[in-house]
Amino acid sequence: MTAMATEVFPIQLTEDSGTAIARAASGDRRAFEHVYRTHLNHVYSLCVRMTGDRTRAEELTQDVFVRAWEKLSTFRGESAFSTWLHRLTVNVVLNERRVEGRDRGRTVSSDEDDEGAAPAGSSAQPMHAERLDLERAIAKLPGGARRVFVLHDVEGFTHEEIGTMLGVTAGGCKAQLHRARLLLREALTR
Amino acid sequence: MTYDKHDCDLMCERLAAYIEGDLSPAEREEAERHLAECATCAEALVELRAIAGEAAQLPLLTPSRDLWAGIEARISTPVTRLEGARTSVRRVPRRHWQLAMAASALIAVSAGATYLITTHAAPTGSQTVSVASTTAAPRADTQPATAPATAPATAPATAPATAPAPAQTSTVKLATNPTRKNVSVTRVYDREITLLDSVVRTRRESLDPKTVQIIEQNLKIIDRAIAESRAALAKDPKSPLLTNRLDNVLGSKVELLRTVAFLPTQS
Repeated sequence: MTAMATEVFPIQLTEDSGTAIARAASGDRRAFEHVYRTHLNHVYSLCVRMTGDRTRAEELTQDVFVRAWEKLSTFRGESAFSTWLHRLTVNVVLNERRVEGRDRGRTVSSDEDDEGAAPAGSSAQPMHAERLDLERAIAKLPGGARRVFVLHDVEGFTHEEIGTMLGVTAGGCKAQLHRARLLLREALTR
Repeated sequence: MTYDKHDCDLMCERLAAYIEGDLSPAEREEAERHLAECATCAEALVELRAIAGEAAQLPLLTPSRDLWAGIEARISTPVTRLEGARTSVRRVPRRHWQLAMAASALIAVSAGATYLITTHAAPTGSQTVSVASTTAAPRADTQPATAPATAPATAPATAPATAPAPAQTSTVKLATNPTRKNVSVTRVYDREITLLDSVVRTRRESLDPKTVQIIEQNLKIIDRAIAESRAALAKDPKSPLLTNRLDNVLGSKVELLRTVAFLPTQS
């Protein structure tokens, strides 16, 4: 957890994470709060960057932790908890998009949706000017290109993994990534 | 060597594959030659790599408010689980005879429903029928309130009547007689219940004992409601409210028995 996060929400993070996860899995809400505070910023950052909208990201972050609480007993420790939570976050965000897409009667793979959302960078924390520009430029990417860029370049997923998550081929994923980088370059050098 | 715009556009398209290492050795060599000689494309490559590098270094973001209160409220809301032991049984393929019996029961229901719909949809303007044989026929719904709870489900269609028969020669309009309709509906329900009951009885041993116990408890409640409704209807045979109530509880019993007939076998 970052120093900044502890400043905003002071809490004593003395408990071992593994113990907290095990206790939370058995229904201990206090332990789950510890898990939440440990991973909050990771989950929130991913939600912000995938949606390009901080308000929506806050709602989705809550959804992720509620879902994590419900599914915690299925976590077997085969992967790191952060990896498990990361994937859960991606699933929640993508699933919300699918539901939203269905409600609007549009295909979820539409690339021109949720474009030009509010910039991700905000006054919540000081940020290097170039990074702030990059955050803003990412937020303004077309939805499909933004999701691929965030999952690949920010989060480090492979093209195959992203392809599986988004239901596209690895080749399609690479094409979207290149498009995203070109658009970002254009936005940042304008 | 100088490159024109067309060459640079092609190079730009290839940059993605170049960065990913997806080019063949010959293509890679050609791309590197272009990049070594074209400052514009070389600059594009540097900037694209810088964007990827910068993205990997982006710091974590912090929400503008504490989200825990909302999360805690949601995870504290109790979830009411349906009573039953469905989780303790494993879904296994049904035997052919079970499917055949269930299918027979469903056919009987469909046939009964079709019969009811077609008879009630028929023109009734001048049609008159004698209901004497119907109303005088043995009916489970004329049994007293003190009848055993299982009576409606198990009473054979030919059981002796226990209530005084109505006027045996009355002639009535078919569509305007709720008693006549109720008799038909009740008979269909009774027939279906008898069929499903036999399916359930044969399946009883293969079901989880806890599930059987819950089913029996529910059946007792429904049977009690059926007996009460029938007793009330015997006193006021023309009451649409009581007729509907009896239909509803009989329908509930059919629904429960049908569910049991399709329950998975205990592992």
